[in-house]
Amino acid sequence: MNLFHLTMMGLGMMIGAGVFLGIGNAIRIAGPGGLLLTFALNTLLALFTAMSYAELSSAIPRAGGAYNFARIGFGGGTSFLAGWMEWFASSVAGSMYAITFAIYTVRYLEQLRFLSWLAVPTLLVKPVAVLIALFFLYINYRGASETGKIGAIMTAGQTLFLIAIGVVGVVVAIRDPSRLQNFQSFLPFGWSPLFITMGFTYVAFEGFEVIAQAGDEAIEPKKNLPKAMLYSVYVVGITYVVVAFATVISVKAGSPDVTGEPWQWIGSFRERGFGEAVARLIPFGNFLLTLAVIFASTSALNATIYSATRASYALGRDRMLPKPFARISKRRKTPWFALLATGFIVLVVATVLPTMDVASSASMMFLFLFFLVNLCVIKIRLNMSDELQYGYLTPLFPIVPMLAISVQVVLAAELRHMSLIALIVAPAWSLAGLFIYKFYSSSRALPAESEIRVLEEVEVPEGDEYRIMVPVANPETALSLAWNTNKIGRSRPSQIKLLHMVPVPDQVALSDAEKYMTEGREGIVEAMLYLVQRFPVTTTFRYCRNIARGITSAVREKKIGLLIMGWHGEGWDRRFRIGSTLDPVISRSPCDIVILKDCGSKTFRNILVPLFGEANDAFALDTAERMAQEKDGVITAMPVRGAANKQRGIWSEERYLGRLLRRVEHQPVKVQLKGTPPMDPVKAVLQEAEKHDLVVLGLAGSFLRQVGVPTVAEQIARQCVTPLVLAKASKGLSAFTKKWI
Amino acid sequence: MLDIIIGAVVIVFCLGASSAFVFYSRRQIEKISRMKRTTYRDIMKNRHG
Repeated sequence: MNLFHLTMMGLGMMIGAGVFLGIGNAIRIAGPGGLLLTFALNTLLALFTAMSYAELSSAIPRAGGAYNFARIGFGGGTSFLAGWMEWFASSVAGSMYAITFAIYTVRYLEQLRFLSWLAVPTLLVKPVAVLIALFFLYINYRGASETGKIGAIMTAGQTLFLIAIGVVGVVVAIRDPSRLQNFQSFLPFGWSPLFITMGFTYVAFEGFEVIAQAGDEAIEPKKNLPKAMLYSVYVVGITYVVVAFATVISVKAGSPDVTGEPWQWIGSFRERGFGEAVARLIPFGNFLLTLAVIFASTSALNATIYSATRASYALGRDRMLPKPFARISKRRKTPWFALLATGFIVLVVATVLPTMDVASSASMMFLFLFFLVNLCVIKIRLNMSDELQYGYLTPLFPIVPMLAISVQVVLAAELRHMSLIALIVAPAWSLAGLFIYKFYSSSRALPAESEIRVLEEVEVPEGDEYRIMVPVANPETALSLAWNTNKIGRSRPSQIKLLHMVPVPDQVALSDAEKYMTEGREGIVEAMLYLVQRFPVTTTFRYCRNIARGITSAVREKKIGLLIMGWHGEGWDRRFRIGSTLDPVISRSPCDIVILKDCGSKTFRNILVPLFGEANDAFALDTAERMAQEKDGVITAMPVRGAANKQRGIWSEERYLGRLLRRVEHQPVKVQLKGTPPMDPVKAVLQEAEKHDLVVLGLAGSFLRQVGVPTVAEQIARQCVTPLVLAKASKGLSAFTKKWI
Repeated sequence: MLDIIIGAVVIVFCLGASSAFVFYSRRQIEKISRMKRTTYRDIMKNRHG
């Protein structure tokens, strides 16, 4: 599928029913101006989520959509919930398309007087919806689907038809400006109903989900998937706004059969309002509109049944739902059980629930799903951005996904005014999913290929001790790491967790990872033998695709307080500030971090601690005190950032140092102050470092930025030839964010 | 009348911002597609290049 096919696929899903069903109700609730505002605001909001989908699809262009993103971003439980919600949301959307088809078909037959024998023709809506849903369930079972080309041409036709309605509306408004008076009661009920109308018409913008599902079949997916998602939302948004404008001006105020204001008259028809309005705007309006609705809703119905079946089949395939969900018909090669289960939901929802409750439930489920995808984009960008090859990056990150999340929460809550049933159905389905996952899926689910696995773990009983993790990579430096870990950890009851990550290249199957395990055993054993006499020690071997992610995930899982790592010095790769493993570990680990360079198994008497006037100074001083020889160690504190402030008389080095010393945990060593000479701080510190045994640097500056100009501390770290310790404390909002995302 | 003015401004803003996002994104996608390595770090390093 090329860009055109993908874009049309998304448009086909969106232009199906939302606009036909939504306009009449939206104008009734929010007025003529509210109708336009609803679609304009939803366009921007949908674009925010489409950008998240675009980023994730460009980096992970595989079939599976939200389920796949959640599996990579969050793992088991969340991915099950995403797939579970995706299944229901698509099924309910399918019910909505079946009902839309039925409403407009019955309306047309009624106008042709084919249903005059019926007292209440609208009673036919539900049976017709069931029949059309059954027909497309059968079509899906047969495995027949529209070919990409024909489907794309049909969608292009539908879109052009809607654009034509919009253009006619604009022309009519120019020729008869009095119709603009229809906007006089712009927002008759104020601004607040907008949240309700935005909520229940949001389902009309969910086409990018189906584009994400087509990841495997796209040509140049990194480029075409994000483009198709953004283009389809953009085109559909503009089209909706223009069509909404045309709907409002289509009815001339004061016409004999129009009661009340035009917008009230259109709104009185509810779901059929759009049809009644457009029939007055264009010649053969009724016929053309019915034709457009039939094409739009049937192709969307087909696509949603396909999408829902695929979601439930994926859950069955990964054993998150019972095995029958993964059964494929021998004759037709289609997942018949997943289709049957999907069909059951589509038919029950279409039959039992009133029309607007169906639309509201579908909207709410999609809001939940998009909420999750926006969380995924934040989590994956923060945790895996060095591993994934992106084709697109969401601009203004993370403001855009966070804004989308906030508005989606508000819209979901406001939907209660539209449909109490939706407020019960959607959360109940999500809770049922959580229940099924806890008691069924979690124990049966197949592990994902890319997950980090524990090869071997020797645990000791967990106590209240301070948890220190020491990743050991190189057997040659294992003993010096253990020596310094002892120094840092000895002053308080600590538990040491030795970790060896086994990197498995992408070309090698994870099942063969055991072959790589022996390489790290020597180092771990050496460190353990040294430390086990002093601390409770745990050893763990894990295999992973990316060492940094493996370490970060172990830190989170084991609730580590301090991470101690070794550093061999500046690497060859200039893209990284310190190193390809250390940079992401520093920026993502929610714990204190100490990095040792060339520290060996030495004792340190003269330690230099440059102070940058930032949050890590106290932790650097604390680490220096732990590293120092207890009795005769001397620490030289050298404020390098205070010179300018001192001259202005607003900063006192003595007061600052005194404040820092009150914050550190123990002070058995002598601490002296050294003024900074009036020169470049990097040179000043490097000169002073030559006179000392060890330099302890607080890693000032935010590593969340990951790129950019190196900070003073990083420049010193790169050039310093004296043994070096880098210290970074975990504090404040960034630590909280790292812990939870 | 005030509602109409504010409403019109909001509609123009939403459609304008959407257009800006889409065209910016299109440019960015094309630019990234010409790069050899496209991790987040690589893209950020080359964002002015």
